[in-house]
Amino acid sequence: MNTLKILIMLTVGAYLFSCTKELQIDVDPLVAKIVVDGKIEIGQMPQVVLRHSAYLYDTLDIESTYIHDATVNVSDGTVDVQLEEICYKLYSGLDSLLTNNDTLSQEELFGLLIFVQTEEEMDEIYKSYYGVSATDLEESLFFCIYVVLPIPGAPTMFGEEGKTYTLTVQNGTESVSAITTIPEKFEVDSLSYTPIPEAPDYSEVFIHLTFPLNNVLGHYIQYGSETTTNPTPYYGMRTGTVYSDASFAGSTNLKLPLEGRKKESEGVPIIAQRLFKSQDTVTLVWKNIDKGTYDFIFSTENDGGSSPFSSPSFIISNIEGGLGSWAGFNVNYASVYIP
Amino acid sequence: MKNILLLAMVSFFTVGLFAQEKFTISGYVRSASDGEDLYGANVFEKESLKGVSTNFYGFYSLTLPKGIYTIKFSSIGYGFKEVQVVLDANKTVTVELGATDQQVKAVVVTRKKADANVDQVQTGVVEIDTRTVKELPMLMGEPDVIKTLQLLPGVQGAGDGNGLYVRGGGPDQNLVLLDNAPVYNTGHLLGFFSVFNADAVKDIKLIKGGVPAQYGGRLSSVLDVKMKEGNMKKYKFSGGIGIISARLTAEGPIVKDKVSFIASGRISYIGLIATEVLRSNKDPQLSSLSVPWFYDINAKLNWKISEKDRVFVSAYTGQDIMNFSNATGTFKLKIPYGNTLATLRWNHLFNSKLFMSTTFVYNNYKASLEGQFGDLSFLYNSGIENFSLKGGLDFYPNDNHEVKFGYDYTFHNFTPGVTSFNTGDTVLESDITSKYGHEVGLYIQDETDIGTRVKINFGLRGSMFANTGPSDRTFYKPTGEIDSVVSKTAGESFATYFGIEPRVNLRVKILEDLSFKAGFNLINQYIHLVSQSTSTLPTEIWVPSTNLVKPEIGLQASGGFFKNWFDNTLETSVEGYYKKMWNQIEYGNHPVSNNNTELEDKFVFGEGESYGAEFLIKKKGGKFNGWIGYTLSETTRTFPDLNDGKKFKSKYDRTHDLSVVLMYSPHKKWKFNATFIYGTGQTTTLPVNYYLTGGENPDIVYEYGEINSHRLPAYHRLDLGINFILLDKDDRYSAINLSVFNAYNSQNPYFFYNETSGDFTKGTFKVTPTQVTLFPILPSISWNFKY
Repeated sequence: MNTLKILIMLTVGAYLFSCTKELQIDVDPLVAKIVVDGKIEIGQMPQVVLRHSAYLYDTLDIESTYIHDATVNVSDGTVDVQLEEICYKLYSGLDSLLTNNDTLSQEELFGLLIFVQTEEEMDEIYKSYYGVSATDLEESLFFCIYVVLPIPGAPTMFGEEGKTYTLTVQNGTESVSAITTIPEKFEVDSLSYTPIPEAPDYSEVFIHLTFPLNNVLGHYIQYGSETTTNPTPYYGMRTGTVYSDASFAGSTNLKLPLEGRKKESEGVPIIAQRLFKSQDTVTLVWKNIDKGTYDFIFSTENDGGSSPFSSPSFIISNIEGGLGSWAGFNVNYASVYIP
Repeated sequence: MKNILLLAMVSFFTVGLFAQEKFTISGYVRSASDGEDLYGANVFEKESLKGVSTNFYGFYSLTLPKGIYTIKFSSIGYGFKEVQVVLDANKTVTVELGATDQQVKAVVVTRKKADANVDQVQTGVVEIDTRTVKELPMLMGEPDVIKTLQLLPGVQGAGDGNGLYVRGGGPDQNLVLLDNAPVYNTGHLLGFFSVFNADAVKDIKLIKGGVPAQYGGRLSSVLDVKMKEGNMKKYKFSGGIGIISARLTAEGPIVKDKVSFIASGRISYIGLIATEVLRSNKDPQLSSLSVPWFYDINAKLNWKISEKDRVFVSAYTGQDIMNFSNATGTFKLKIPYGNTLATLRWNHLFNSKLFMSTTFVYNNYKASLEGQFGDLSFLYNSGIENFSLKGGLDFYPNDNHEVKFGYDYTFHNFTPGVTSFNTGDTVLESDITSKYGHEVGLYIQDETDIGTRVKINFGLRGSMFANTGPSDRTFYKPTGEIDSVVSKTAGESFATYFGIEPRVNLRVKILEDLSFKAGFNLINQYIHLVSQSTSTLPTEIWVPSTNLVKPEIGLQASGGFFKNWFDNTLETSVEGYYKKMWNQIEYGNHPVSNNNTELEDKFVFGEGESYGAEFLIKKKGGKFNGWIGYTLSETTRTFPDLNDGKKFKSKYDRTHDLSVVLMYSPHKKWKFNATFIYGTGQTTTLPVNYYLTGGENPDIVYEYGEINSHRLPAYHRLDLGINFILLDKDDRYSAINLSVFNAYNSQNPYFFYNETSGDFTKGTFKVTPTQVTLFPILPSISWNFKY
């Protein structure tokens, strides 16, 4: 019987065999376009990352794609602010360092870095606060972002619910513009958790929602999770991170699963790798977004590529003349502690 | 105009009154060994060569002047028989043809039969016999009707898959019939094997162009597969076993020469056994694995009530089972899908000139996706269910006309992808409800000789489709809010369409062994399979024509020369075609949203065009035979909402498509086969540029180039086969087939993807375009038998 089993396994294995090899691509690059990666949240100033799109089949020189010295303005119809570019070094371990520090948030670090002019000054800050080695810093790339500098007397702009914000970017002869609205708040009721029998130290967490009967009102949300032990928001739900309320048409009470960052370390059962560990606080990051932002995120999350079972996705962008997204977020949080 | 019509009608029905006194010989042509009706058998008067072919049910009607004649009956593989007839009254002559070696050889030199490809009026018609299907090299030892059809010019597949793309048309544009019942998914195991069990199949006919008026509802082709009827003479068993599946068929008389049955089953046993073996494994990861498998069951009852009445009941059901779960059972995924078909047919012969067939068809195609993750479960259902009634009359009013007229009515019930989620006490169901349609067709066609060289088959089909309730249609504002809901009750129509579809086929015999043929058809297609993939997936959705989704309309004109050489042992042909298709449907550029908005709101509409030339050289008879087919073609699509409105190559476009089939029988015990395929690489849409979004922890986003503007490497493959014939005598057969699929291990692309590696933050991120090859060199062995 064992021989038979082995024979069958070998036969099945042979027939399930497929192989891969590198494919030589010979195609001309597309014209590079301005890519906007911008957001404005309630109570926060706008932030915009500007890059150019670039050819995929060269060495990816990501730093070279940043657009420097562009004129970036955001207007809410009354106030107009100009954003300035700052650049600082990214360190690949930064997220985990931030995670282990209870007192300094990424935003606070950002505040410290905002007036840094040189790489050396940056190194000093990193080293004094996080002990990052010079080598690690050397290996990491610069990150450049356009922000509203807190200059005394200069106009400020903090995101407000229901307001519409217009972004304009001028880079030499290139220009793009975009409009987003911070949508009204549509909140969740609560979070709950359920330990799983297969891994008692881990729990599933569910989001509870109540809808009005006529519930297709054009609400759009993106949601993710963070925990006390890993406060970097995670948006990687396998069923997608963005939904419209049309997804839930016909339901008045709803329970949605929440997933965490995949834990692939040894000892975590497969079933629990996206669940939450006991003695941690799980926080739902629940972003109300407008349709333009929803369309952009949904189309990027559902690019089927060139597989025979799906189709490529042409990304929907709300950037006139460019690519990317200018997003207004109305972010809400709900937490549950798992004992 | 009225006078011309009147004159034409009077001359049509009264021609016999003014001619010499004529009588009709009619009857059936059947197989001597099993009593099966022989479709397409030739019946002709030996001196004048005036003749007809039997219809789909083996019936013929030949009208000749009073006299004494030798009537010759012949059919491929069954030899011939000559019958002396004193024609002084209407006569019924039913003959049985045997399949002895001598007779088969004799038929090769029978001029009338061998000229069929030159003589018949239809263009673009190919027939293959099931023995060829079983003897050609196979993938995993599985005889495959669709893969054999792919070896013919004008027919392409999707790489290693089992797609059927005919003259630039999509898979849903083929009307695939099994005993008159449409088959909505022709593939097993995600399309790598076909649903047709070669043991249960009798006739396989593919019409690529010049589609006769009796067929309707699909733009590109008709694949008419007829199941065996069951041996009327004696009990027979046939079957086979290959690497992945085993087949067994039993047939025989319940009442000799009166009632017969056939029952045939096929199961892909290797998947079933492997799953059981894996399940018994101690390793929980292995024991939770499952290998997909499928089964088919065909059955048919054939009751010859009298020489005038006959009833057939046939059924098919097939199912694919794909189950996946983890060791603890907390994750489960099931993808069951399959077709169920049932046909009840009554054939009635009113008299020697009028034959009627009435058929009731039930058909149900269902696909599901059932999943469970923890206490979250989801279910996705899609499918189509039909009830059809079809009636057709074959009328032979005089010696110069074969008239067919009839009707068909189908009630469609569509389940267009209904999803539900269940999390504990919460059930979430999509609002996409069933959709309904009523489809009606009426047709008339006539085939007639004009002089001695010209034959014309002209027909007209009228069609109607109504998309009806009970269902709702929701309209949304651009912001996503519901704008309005339109509700219709049962029978109330959302949209109704009518179509007039002319069909013409013409044959001009230039020489006895050289003819020119031309065909023209206009066809409306009212139901559509909207696909995001190049493979035919079980979860793809059939949708009806609605007020937004207009009927697809296809026009095809084709023509070509057909020439036989060397006593008709060598057939050659060159055919050209031009096809224009309107109201073609695709998903938009963007992925299908997960919300409940109406599916059809996600479609875009445009036009398609295909043209090409097909060349065929076919050697028949002798020790060495086979064919070479080559197609040069272009297929494009133009959609205002895709590719900036610019014309783009279709995913079915193949510039060059070459098939070489060689069969060599040095000895009656041995047959060596080789097939070679070359096809231009499949079109694909390539990501060309990239950009990053997501702040400090960015994701890569691809910017695609023009739709289908790039091609994967060409597909080419050599398959080799050896058939060792253990027994081939007295309708008993036993043979071992050794096949080597992809003999030189060609690395054919099935698809490609971009493999990513490295870290954005360190500048080490890298994209590597990677080609996936599915099947390397695959040897297999199978045994086929009949006793």
